[in-house]
Amino acid sequence: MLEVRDLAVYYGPFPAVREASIRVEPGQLVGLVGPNGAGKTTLLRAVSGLLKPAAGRILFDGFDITGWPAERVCELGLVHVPEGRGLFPRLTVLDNLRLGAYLPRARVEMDRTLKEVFDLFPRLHERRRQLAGTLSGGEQQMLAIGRGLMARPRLLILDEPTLGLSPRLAYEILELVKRLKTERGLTLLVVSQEVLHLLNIADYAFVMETGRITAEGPASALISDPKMRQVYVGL
Amino acid sequence: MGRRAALLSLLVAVLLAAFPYSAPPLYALSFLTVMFMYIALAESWTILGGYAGYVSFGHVAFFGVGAYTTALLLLHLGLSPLITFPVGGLTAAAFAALVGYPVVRLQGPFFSIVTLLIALLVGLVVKNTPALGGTTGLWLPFPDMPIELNRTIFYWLMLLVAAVTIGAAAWVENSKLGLGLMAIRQNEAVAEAAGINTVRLKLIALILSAGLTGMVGGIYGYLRSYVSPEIVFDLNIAVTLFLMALFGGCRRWPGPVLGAVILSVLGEFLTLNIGEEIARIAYGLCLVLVVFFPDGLIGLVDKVRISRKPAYKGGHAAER
Amino acid sequence: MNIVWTSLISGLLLGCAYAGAAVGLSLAMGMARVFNLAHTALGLVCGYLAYFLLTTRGIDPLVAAGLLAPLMFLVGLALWPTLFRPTVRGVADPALSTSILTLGLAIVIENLLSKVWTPNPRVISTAYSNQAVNLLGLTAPAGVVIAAGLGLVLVLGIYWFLNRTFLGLAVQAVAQNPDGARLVGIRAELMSMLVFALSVGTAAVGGVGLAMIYSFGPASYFDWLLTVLLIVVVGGAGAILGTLAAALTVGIVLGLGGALLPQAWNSLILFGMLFIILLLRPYGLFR
Repeated sequence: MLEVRDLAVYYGPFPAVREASIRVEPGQLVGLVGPNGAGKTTLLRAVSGLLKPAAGRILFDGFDITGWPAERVCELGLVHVPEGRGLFPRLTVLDNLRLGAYLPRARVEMDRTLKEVFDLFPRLHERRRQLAGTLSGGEQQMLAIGRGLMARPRLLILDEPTLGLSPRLAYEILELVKRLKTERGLTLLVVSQEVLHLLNIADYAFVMETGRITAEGPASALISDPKMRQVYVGL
Repeated sequence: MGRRAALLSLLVAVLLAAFPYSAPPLYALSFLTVMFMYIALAESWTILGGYAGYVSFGHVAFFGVGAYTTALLLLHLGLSPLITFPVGGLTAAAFAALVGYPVVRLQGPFFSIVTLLIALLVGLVVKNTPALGGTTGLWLPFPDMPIELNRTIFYWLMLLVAAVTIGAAAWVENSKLGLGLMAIRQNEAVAEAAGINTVRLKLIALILSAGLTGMVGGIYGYLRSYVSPEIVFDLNIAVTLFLMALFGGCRRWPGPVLGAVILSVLGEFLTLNIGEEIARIAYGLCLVLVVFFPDGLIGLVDKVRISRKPAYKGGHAAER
Repeated sequence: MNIVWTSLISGLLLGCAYAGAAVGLSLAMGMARVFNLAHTALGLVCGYLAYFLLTTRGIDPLVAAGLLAPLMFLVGLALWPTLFRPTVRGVADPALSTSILTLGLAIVIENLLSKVWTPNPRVISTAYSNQAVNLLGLTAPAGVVIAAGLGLVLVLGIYWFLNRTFLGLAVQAVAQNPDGARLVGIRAELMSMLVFALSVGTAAVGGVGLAMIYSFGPASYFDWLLTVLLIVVVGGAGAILGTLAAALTVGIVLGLGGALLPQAWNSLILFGMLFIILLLRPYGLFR
């Protein structure tokens, strides 16, 4: 569904991503792991259209979306929940969710999707009139994921959904992500610091270090790989 | 500064100084005097505005403080501004030191607007203080000498002051102070982190710049034989002086000179042939334009010069 | 006591009119990131145009405002890609750059107005504008009351747009988190352009409003600008209700000050307030 070929992304003169290639097949939960500063977020931002790559190709569902702006990319169903969540702090939870369905194709189904999201996250329903900026970290993360779901994605990209959360919350979030795949058949690409848990729920994974993809394989194989131990022990 | 450039500057200075001996029309002397004044104003503004990037909209406040200082010294103590103008500079510098501390801690446009407000407020205070002449202003006695000599003396004085400010700016540019100021302009947070005392440097630049501007103001009042809030806290002067610096390029000392010369000539030409409003409209348009060329004319010239050098391979990686 | 009450009411009326003039700048500064120092100058142009239409064709200033607002909206749409988008996107300090740019624009506008209409002060006076209206004990000229009403309606209209329409929410979203907005499919660029054009459109109405209250000349834009800037800074750029509250407060200060203090003090208080407030909030008001 998503194919990234030999991508290169620069921050000014500095190459943050080099010759990166990843694939996500429909229905898969793919993990992207690596140390801080490896370029994972940069890669995702280039895929979703927030950054323009300097070289390489990005293909989604057969479409060449290289260099497409973010607004167009999500029209195709590629939805990115960014690191830092990207919420609108002075708007209510409800408004944040409604804006998630901004695209025409999502807007017609807004009421139905809203109900689904509230079923998934009852806490959000309770706090629907609260300003997003006043929510706790865990609730904000739920809101961010919920907002992503409002766009009725085909591929949902989650960048560090567990960042800053307590271990229990991080666990719950990742379990929820797994349910999104198993119960709703969503395709997911997830970056997380919780490497062990992520590899446990993922089908396939890529390892990224200093801008390059240094390893890949079925998640179960990577867990037992000694090199991987070095990566996630070094985290 | 290169040997050739230094010689050239000296030549120009000597020629300019000798100019009055050619019995030119008084108008030419007056025009050049005002042009030198703007060179001096733009140059002293640049020390804070160009090097540190702190664009002051209200520098004319210091100009006015200097003018009023020498005017009062003349009226109450009988001292000629031709001698006391440095005192005008000192008062302006002291004033800057007084208000400077909270003001230099402001960022970007807030700093600019606050400086504008300072000019306005000082103007208002003066307007409402009868001892300072109030709204009617102060009339200064005309120096007792033939007009040609009068104009020539002011010509030389302004030329001197222009040279002094150019020297000051050039000195700052090549000093550690200048380096620090430019670091502040590039990225103040980084400069702070690198251990530069940004507040102190900005304050020094402000005080120096204000003092030089005050000196110029001290002469101007006497030149006009009249100081009033309108004349010396004139927002047109305020905008013109930084426009000239921005236009010519305020990263290096030759910039404001270039800007002042070109815009003075342009302004005068338009005023004489079409009208004052058209001249100001032209200035306004230049201000709009200048935003797209933040390094000014000098910046453009530099870019052309660099791209002509044979050693340049014409490549840095495609910018994102 | 009576004079305090009447100057309070008249101050509130003034505040409403100023709110209409200020809301656009609040939008521009808070959401489009443009320090539009030419905001009141554009409003002044519309004031002059309304005057022109009134004196030459007998067109009522309210009608003129209704015509000028969409016209200025289009002007805003045209200005954005030509002048402002390149400045906001490509430059290190867009706030400073836009303030210099718009200052230049304001100077151009002032001198154009001076050229066309001379510096002589003008007054917008219709058949009804001097009729006395009795409002809560104050006898105010109808022109002032109408201008106040105009301003109030404008502010409330903008508030309704931003908070009760989906498009308005999208605009707020872009202002609060441009990346987040783009990721849900909102065209951030378009929204910025829209909100800027809106701000210019409201400047038209606000300008006509102020022109109905005060006699004006080409240089009037400057005093108006400082007052409006004060309102936006106090109320918070981008906060519509805050702008209204600040405008009413400033209006009251002006009203009371005008009645109780000698004339010269008015400006001093205004500029002094702005000065102090800017000093005390050095971290700026862009969120």
